[in-house]
Amino acid sequence: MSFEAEAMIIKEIEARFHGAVIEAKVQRKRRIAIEAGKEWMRDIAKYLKERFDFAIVVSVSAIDLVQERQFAIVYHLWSPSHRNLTALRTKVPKDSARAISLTPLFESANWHEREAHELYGIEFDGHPDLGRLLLPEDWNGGFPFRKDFKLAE
Amino acid sequence: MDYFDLLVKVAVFPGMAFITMYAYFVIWLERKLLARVMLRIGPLHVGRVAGVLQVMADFIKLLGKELIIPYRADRFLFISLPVVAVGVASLPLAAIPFDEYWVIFRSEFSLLYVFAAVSLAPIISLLTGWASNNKYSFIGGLRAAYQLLGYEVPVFLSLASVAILSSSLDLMQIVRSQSNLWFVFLTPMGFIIFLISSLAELERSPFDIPEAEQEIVAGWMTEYTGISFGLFYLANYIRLCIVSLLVTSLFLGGWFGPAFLPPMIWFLLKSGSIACLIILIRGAYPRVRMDQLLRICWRFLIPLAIANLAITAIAAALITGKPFMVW
Amino acid sequence: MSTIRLNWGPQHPITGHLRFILDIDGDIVVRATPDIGYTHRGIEKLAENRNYVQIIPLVERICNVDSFNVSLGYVSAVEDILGIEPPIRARFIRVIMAELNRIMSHLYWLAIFGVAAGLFTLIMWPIADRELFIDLAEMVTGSRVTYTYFTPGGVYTDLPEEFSERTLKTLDYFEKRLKDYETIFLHNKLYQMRTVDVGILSFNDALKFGVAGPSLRGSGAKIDVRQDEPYAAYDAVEFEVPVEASGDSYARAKIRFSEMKQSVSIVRQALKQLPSGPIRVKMPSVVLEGEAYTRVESGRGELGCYLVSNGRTQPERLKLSTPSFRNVSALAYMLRGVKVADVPIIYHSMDIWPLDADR
Repeated sequence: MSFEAEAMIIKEIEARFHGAVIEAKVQRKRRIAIEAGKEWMRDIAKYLKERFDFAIVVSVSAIDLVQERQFAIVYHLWSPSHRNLTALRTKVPKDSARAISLTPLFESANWHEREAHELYGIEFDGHPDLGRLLLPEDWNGGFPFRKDFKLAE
Repeated sequence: MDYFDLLVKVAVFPGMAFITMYAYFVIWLERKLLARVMLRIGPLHVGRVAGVLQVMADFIKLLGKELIIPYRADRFLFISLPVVAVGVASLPLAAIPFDEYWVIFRSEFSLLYVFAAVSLAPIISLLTGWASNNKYSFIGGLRAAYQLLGYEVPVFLSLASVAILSSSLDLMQIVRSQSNLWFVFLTPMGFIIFLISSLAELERSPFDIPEAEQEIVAGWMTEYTGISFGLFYLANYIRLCIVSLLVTSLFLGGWFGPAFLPPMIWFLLKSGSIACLIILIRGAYPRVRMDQLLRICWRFLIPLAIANLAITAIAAALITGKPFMVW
Repeated sequence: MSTIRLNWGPQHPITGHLRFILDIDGDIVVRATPDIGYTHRGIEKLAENRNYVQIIPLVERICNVDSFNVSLGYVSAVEDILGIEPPIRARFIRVIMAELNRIMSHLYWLAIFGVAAGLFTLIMWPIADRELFIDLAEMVTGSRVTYTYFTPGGVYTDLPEEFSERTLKTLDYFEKRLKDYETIFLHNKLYQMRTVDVGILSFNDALKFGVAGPSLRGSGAKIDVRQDEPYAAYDAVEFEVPVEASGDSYARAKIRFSEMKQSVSIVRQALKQLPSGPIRVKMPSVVLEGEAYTRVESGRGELGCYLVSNGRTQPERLKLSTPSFRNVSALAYMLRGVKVADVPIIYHSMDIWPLDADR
């Protein structure tokens, strides 16, 4: 099946950010995936927002990649006019988990980044308020969603 | 003065025993009637017929509960206010005539006395809210005081129109002058204004703002448990009964009715139907906001009540040829 | 002017399992801080220790009153990774059950929203009517809530014989009841006084905060997953997506009413068009490797399910982006400057389900 609309977005991204994009592909209908270095996240997201009307960050997921000793941070952005969901992925090393926050661009990423910070321990530079969200206020037991956090038997 | 006669009237009928029984009946009626509106059945099993003893069972349950006094609450006020509330709620009963003979206290100014006694209730709410040392209670008590600003004037003005029609402030005289025609037909607007303002006074839906469960848990009654809560609950329903008796005396002709039933029964039937009406209103309308209530009272009820008063006075003067009230 | 700090919840008659820290000046809320996490069960972490079929009942519990839609999101993600598609009959059954669940979810919302303004009648009637729909679901799946009925590849069991007739009878009755609800609720002047122009969320703010579902459509944005990217059999039925422009609580309530009516129409169409055939495809004996993000329109809004698998029997990562989580973040902004009495109205007009927000 050919996905022309999706392929067009990929082509423009690759043309604009030539060299910064590690991987950009069409996954299936209305789904494209872009991977880039963490310092490019804000620029790519800004370009997506202004050029293709990707107005909403619907999800920010952090994935603990044990073998690579890295965290993958995946932003999912939705464009209401193009009806396309883009997964914007970056990787940060586990030892110094600092990423650049997209909250100044997308207010909808605010609480998702807060949750990722609380549960994985990833610092988001530029986030207005990385306070407690889901865990109790007096929690000091570590970062629960990391793979090395053992659930009580 | 026959003291035994007075004692019977104060203690039994139409005094404390009767009003407690009447409040009991109205509580049971509300639970059954409101349940039917909500597609439920209400109390069914306790007491052979239709759960009549359910209210008694709940009262006994409340007696057995622990009395919790919050930390740093005003102990004296906290413990004494429920009893005071019941007493203050029953005060207007002294002047309401049930019959030519059954009235505790006759006076030329009994309507004024009743109005003053009924107005004491928000003070109890405010004191209760303050004494509980709880933010929810405090806000609830304040709301009761604000609500007072809204309904006092319309109540007074509609009572004044009744006083003009009967040329007297004596409740007995007011009822007697309805022997030919009930006042509800002469001043229907006054009846409606008095009913709506009384709903605000009783803190009942749609004006149960001081006890807004969805915002401030239980308002000024939040900290009360056990028998203290039971006494407040009883005081609330005693006030409802008193208002229904008042509405009957002032607008629905008191004890006058066709001869096949004794006058007392007519009086009770009529006030029972007003209680039904108040209960059904609770099942049909949501709560208004405080500022909306005050807006309704000031922009709508007060001008209407003033117009009603003016029309009644002018009509009375034109018909009888005499000015205003004749003492 | 000093403010009173009021804890609105979690031990409270109406908030559900979350807390708002309200700073009140007189009768105006100066600041509202949402505090979620009271029911955080770590479902996403638990999912990393279960295989893909065991996750279906786990995922359903994030919104137990709306669990058809939620499990549909997860099951579709598994199907996307495997590259299989359920048979046509299963897709229609999925639409029917999802729409019945939407009606159930909206009736529950109506019960709580009705009582948010203090009318207890409006909690009894919808809950009673919801029982009829729960009976329908019980006839098909055997449970009243949290059904575990959808499975990757289709559905578990077929619809029983009498389902179609009984559903149509229930829908006829329900349409009449909807008129009653409109009279007592939508056309009730006192309710309009409480909800019109209360809690206004503008179009730009709704998109900015990432609000989802009827709350988003109440501000004028026509975004509905069922029409943006039709899943199951939604492209085979015709329905409208109600949108209102005013952005107040009344608009959001009106939208949910219209959605209930549209759901009735969708179920009728789907029952008429229901084709015969198998209800499950045979699962290929391959391991899951890849990732997928599916969006479904649950009763509260758009639910996103992001599934990452790496060739093992347990997923690498399951992330659920729930509508209540997105809507609660907007409430901190919406509750500023409103009166205390409006707080329950605005909160319930957004239809927050705390278990949904916490996962």
